[in-house]
Amino acid sequence: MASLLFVFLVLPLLGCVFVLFSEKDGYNAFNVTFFTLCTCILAILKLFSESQIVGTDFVYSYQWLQHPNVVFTFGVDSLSLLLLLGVYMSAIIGLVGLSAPQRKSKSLLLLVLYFIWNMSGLLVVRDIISFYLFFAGMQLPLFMLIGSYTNIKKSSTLSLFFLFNFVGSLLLLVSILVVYRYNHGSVLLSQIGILDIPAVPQFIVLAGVCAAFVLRIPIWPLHNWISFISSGIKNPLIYILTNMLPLSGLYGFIRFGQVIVPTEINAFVPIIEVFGVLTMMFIALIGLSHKNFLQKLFSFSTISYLLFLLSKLLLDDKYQMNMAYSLFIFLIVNASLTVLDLFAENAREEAGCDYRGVLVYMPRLSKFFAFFVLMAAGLPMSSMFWNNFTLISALFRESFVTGLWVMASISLVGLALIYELYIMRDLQNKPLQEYAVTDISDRKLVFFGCITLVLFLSFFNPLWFVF
Amino acid sequence: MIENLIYLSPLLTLLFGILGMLFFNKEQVNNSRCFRLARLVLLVSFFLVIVFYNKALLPMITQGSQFTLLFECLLYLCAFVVLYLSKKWFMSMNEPGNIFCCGIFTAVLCGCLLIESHNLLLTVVMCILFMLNNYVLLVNFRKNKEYVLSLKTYLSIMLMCWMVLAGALSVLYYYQIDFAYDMLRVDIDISQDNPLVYTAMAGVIVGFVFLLGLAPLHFGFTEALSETILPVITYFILVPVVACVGSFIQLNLYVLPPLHDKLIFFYESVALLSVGIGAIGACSARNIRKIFAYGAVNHLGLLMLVLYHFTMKTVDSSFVYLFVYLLAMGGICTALFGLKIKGEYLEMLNEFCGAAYKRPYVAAMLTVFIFSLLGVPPFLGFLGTFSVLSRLAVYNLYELVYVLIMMFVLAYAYIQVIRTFYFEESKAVFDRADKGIYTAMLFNAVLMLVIMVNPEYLVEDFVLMIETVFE
Repeated sequence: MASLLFVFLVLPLLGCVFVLFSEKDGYNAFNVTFFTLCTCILAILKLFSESQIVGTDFVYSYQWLQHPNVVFTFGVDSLSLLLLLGVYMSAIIGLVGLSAPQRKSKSLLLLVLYFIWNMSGLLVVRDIISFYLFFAGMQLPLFMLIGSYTNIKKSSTLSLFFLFNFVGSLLLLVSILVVYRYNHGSVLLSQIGILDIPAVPQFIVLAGVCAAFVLRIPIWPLHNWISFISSGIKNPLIYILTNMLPLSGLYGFIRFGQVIVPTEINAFVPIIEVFGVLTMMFIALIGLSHKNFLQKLFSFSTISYLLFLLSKLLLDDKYQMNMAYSLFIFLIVNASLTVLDLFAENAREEAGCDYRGVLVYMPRLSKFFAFFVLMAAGLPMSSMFWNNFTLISALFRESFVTGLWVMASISLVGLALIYELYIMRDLQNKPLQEYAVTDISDRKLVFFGCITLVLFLSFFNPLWFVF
Repeated sequence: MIENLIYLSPLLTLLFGILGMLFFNKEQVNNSRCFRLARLVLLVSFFLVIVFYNKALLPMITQGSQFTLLFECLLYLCAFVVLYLSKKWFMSMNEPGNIFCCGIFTAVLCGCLLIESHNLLLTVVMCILFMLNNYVLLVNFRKNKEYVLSLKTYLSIMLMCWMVLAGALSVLYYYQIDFAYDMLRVDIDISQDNPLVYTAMAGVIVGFVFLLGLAPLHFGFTEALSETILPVITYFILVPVVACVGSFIQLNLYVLPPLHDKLIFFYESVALLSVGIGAIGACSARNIRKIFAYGAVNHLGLLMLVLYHFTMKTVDSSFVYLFVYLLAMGGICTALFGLKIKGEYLEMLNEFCGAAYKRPYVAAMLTVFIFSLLGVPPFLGFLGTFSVLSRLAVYNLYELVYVLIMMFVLAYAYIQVIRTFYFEESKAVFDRADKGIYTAMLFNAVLMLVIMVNPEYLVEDFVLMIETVFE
């Protein structure tokens, strides 16, 4: 089955090649991208079912260099497979949300596939050098996507975005080089904790790794770049991919957190905890004050990432799968809400109707929108409810004050989302006017129906799709 | 005698090439024929170099080995690329290219002798000739017909270097030190406490510093490049670098080990200064050629920072970095050849606004090469950067941190280039790029891809050739 893992890794690159040579101004590139992502999802499901049968991880190794000994090692477990599935499903949702002219853009789809390849590579690597390769590699396609296909033309914002990420990559590189200094060659992530490294270099490694990951997760005062960027994106797919970037930092914490010596990491935990909690409350209040749904969604995603980060840092590894289940649903909900909101916004602009009560004119979209908003707000409609409940109660047990702040932030952002839903469905006692607002098509109805079903069934069994 | 002449045939071919080009200049032969012949001469000479790789070009004062062969191959390859690209420029501008071809031949000739040299006198003479050749190219192919300040700066630094080199030779001659490398090493070992001998050898190194365009002698290099034409810039960025690095490694391994501890401070200062000035200079420049010229100063400074330890591993790493640098810089120059408006080649950054929309493939390849130079994975540059930074991590963590900060500064400069290409809008109509430009870029990209997938070719096979210098 290691070969299946290899095929899965190569598929997006193969898709890139086909997209590159597809016809100009046609839908070939879109079809290739869609087909590639669907095939990858099938491969993930196959890997899932095989891992359930065999009961062990698949590992695939590739000797890249002999001197120094650099071996790329890839492997999957339930955690990485769930996240992969979440990433690919979000990408497909984003793809469905593209408008007709956007679907014809070859370079957009090429960069999207390339970004997805980097993301999936990051989620399956097992050694430190290939982790860096994918971690640093994903900034280029995203930078090009944001610069070329969004309204963010201000040079300082774009430069800030790139340089923040570049600094993160350099810090991770420093850590890797320090590890390399003491162990000439590749080191598996699982072996970092047992390497014989003196205290000061160990601290440098740890500080570099933590800083690199924190730069990807929007923690105050390093959150500016992502909030500036998110506010200027109107392309659903790019918005979804941009909001996926913190996942790379979070996943880094999950993987490195498993192996780093506990006494060393303890020095950083209180700092990240304080800043994390403060950021959560700050972002929740900002979300409450904004009048734009996407801004509220950005607050929701930031707070969710911070919840997972705090859970990772403060709780035992036994909660790891709860995080994975919750993250999987979170990625899909976030993507669906992005696509539906941007669709509603475009339809509203075309018809020229008010923002308030816009959903009344789109009954199909309204139902899905309400379902996803309520799910994001924490109502028991998917496994996210159970798992977030478990994580928050464990946080309460660990530290009552932290749990309280986290709970308050999540409640605030939930309220903000529900209030926005209320606004979008409320006509404020005005009579229903005749606006030609386009509702979602039959295809999209079926598509979002399937997504809803996937999420709803997860309420009963988070891994119901694994046979 | 005949045997020696045969071994000398690569150089004789180049000499005939130079004479032929001068004759063509007199007869005003058209550019197409001239460049075709130039490439043919270069290929024949290259073939002869490979055939007689282990034979000395000039017995007693030169030596051939796998190491010299590797650097000579790179030198010829770079010269060939320069000729290939320059032809398009000269044809497009309808200017005679004979003198330029002459300059390239002279550079290859000097470069080969420099690489194979085992005699300090020959090394110094070749350095002086190389500098002179560079100056002639700059003067002949300046954009403005006036004799500008940058050329005066170049000339004054060059004359200063000549004086330093002549002074160094005089000092060594005064102390009756033999110029042959093996004897020179013994003599230096005996008189290593003599400060004048140490100063003289440091003076010889100054010549290399100037030829490589390293700080603090970079002014001539960076300023003159902004005042010259694209073919000359391509030549400057690729050709002298190969010859000088090859010769510099040999000089340090064969002659300078007794003075190594004393020279370390000098090398380290030059390297750190170059890394810093290159990055900061690139940020402040608005001329794209100047940005990459300063970028070259930074990259060569980084190369020097690792190289100066002169152990087998640092030399290997430096070579990997050099190879990656040549590919990426060659790619960038190729991309610049592919971007022109109404027949005019562009140079100011704002002239490239929106180039990505009009020439998407050229812009995309330029982006790949830039990110490669920055060492961003998964491009080949990562291999080179990882190779040198991992060495640096072993030797000096403070230097590593400094280099990374400067990489960050340089990244800012390069990002401005990409931003201009992709995110600025312009109504300028870019000319259709020549098919040869696309071919060259494709070839470069394929080479990078192959090496990235299987770096053993570069890291194992080539490096084995490099290591012959330690035997």
